[in-house]
Amino acid sequence: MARGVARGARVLALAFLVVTVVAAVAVAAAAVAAVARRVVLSAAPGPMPSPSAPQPAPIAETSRRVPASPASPASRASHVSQESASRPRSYRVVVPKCGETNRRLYLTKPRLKGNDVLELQERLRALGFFSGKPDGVFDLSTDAAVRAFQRAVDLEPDGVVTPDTWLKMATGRAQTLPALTEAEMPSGERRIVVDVTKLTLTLYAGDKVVKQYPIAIGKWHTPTPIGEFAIIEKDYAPGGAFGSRWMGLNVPWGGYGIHGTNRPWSIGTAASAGCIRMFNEDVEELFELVPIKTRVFIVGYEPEGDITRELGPGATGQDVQVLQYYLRREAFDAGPLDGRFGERVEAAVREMQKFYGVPVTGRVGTNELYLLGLR
Amino acid sequence: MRWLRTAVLALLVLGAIGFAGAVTAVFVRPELMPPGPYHPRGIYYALRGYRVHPWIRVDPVKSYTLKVWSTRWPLFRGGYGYDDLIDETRADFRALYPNVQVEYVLLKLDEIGDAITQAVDNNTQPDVCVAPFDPSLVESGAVVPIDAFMDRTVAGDAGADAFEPRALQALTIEGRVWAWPSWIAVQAWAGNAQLLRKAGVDVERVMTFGWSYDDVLAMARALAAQQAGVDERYRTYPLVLETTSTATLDTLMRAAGKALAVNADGSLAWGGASLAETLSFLEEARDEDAFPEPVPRMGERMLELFWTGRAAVIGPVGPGFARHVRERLERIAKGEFPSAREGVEPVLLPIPHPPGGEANSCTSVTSVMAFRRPGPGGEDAARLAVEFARQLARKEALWLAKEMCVVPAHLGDRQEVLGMIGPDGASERFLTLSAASGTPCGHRSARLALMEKDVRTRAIAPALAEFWEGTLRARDFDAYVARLLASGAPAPERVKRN
Repeated sequence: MARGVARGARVLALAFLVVTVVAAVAVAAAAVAAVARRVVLSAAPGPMPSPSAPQPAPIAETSRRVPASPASPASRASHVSQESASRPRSYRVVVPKCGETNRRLYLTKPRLKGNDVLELQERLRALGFFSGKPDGVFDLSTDAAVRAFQRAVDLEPDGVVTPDTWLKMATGRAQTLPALTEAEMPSGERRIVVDVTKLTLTLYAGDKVVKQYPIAIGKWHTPTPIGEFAIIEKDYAPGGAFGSRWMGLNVPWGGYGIHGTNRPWSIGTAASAGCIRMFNEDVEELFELVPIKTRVFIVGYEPEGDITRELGPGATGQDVQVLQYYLRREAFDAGPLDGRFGERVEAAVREMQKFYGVPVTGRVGTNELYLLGLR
Repeated sequence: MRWLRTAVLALLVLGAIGFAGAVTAVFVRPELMPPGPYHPRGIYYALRGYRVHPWIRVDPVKSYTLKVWSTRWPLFRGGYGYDDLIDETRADFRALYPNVQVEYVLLKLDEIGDAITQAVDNNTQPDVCVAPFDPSLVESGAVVPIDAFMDRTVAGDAGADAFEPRALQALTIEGRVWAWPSWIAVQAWAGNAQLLRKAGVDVERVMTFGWSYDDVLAMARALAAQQAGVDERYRTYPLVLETTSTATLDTLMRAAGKALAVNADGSLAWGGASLAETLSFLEEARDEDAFPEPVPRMGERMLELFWTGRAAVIGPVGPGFARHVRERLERIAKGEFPSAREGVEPVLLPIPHPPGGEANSCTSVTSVMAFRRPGPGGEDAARLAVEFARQLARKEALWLAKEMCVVPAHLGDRQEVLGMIGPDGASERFLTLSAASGTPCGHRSARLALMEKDVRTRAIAPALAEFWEGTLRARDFDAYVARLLASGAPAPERVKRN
């Protein structure tokens, strides 16, 4: 009896040991596979991380990899080809945050919602595959429309909207403006003026207009930020909805930028989630002509928003931009409309307070809102 | 031979008489002779010690460049701002003197005083500067006196009698006028006339004859009596004053006749009975619950309380306040602020004075000074500078009077803007009356201003902060300030209490 118990215990112990070892091996294998997949992902330009993925590395790292504008078309061509040949490696994929995503769209529960779905529905409707009212929800009717479209263009009718599907939806576009190279650029400070009312992006060198491009801007509920910003990052291969180039702006309240697109039909409309979309050919050209720190003036209408909190040095946001706008309107020098409460804004606030004879605090509270006519 | 001698003598006498007659004629009517070194008027002023006068010859083929320092006024209305005024002034002057270029340097409101003092010290002064008058600049010898340009034969409508006598007096040292008076700003508080009337105040009378501490306290008591039982959120406050700086005490002390905080020897001028009386007034107002809580930060809500009809008096207000009032009233009239209270009737008020004393409005005269360039010669450029300064002083005053409710120092020009000075007729009367009868009290030398700043920072401001916190009584203020000054320690950091 006792021997039987001992044997049973031995078997149990052995079984436990075997299970433990198997589990450990499985965990180790999974870990190795995960590491391997990360390596592959980081070496490929492919799919974008999800919007919840970690924030991009410091700007300088990306910027360093973006070569200075080549001196001639030939050198530019060689540079681009080298770049595309050697592109992946340790290339960091910038995650733009202007609301654009590269996610795959398909029927799921809960339903996928968003600007990209809305745009998909609008495009399918324009192409005659979707008859409902575009509402930004990927529902059964959207799924049916996607499948119908995929069948029509010889794609697998799986209802999943991939970059291939987007590309097939493009009707193509001929470049209407002659290409411009670095060698043809006039001298003078380069700056970009985006006019959201005319849907144009104009490149200046000094006071001369170098070239004007058509663009798409944000929808009314996801407007393109108005103000004075600068290009702070550049990326050659954002891919997907961001097209072939990305130039990030230092908008303090979101990751907005100028980028290409895989939805060229949207150019000339208010279609984006706030970013400035360009044709890929155009953004590729512009990308080479404007260095990091190029100033970008987005104009067209008054900055919108309310000031609902006390503002002081260090504050950032759209409300700071509204403050800057109103200070400037009152002829106080609040610097560029960049949404940052810096030294110039503080000096302007102090000057205003002295001028009107209210307590000089350098901060914006109720007195200042009254003085600016915002209350 | 005798007849020859007689003839020569007669000719000499006739010549002398003719010459004297010609000189007299040119002296009386200087336009009969072009400006130059032998112009009788010029010689007359040169003998009186004026190196620059209107009879210095300006070479019509020589190119002149005048450097002008001014303040960029943050005023912009109907597409017209200070830059446009500059362009106009420049164009007007070029119409007179096509060979003169005018270059502007625009400085900030509070920088220009220090900047011009430093520039004069370093011999790098501009030709013309618009700034509050600093008497110490005269000692440098760089400022050009302008009396000769007020000579009735050439002054036209810019003679000495064309300006507000008080303003001219403020710019006069040892019998000479050292700058063109441009405009006069009056120190004031602001009030809601409707609330004041409810508290039994004869607003028109106060605006004309001033009011004493007792009058203000009586108003506070009357208003407090009407507020009994009213929830804190809806209470109306008799007084909402600036408490984060010494501005309130400054205006009260000036109205009490103590314009400067320090004496020429650096000793404290504020003290004794006048300071105690002023602080006791504020203390009593506090005891009467005249101020909103928290008292040390009440000024940060002054405009909100004012425009929501919950403040009877706010102060002190800057010259820009009247502009703010006018703009807001215009927007209310257009319906841009639907929630705006009907019961707000803004008026400018004199600063209260001690009981038994006289109403003493404090004014400051902004002037346009002309400078001589360092080194010999340059009288012709200096003459052009004085003439440009005259033109600028009047043009700027006319524009600012309409935009900012200040009073032009030129009496003739004032007639042009009557009805536009001040947010309402009563305030305009108060401003023009104060400009005529007030005491110019913002003028002090840079050295004295520096000493004052030091005393304020080290002692008065910290003591006042304690006073507003309620931890220092009026009777102890004097001694506390003296102790802080004697200790020689740097100003303590003000504790922020939320």
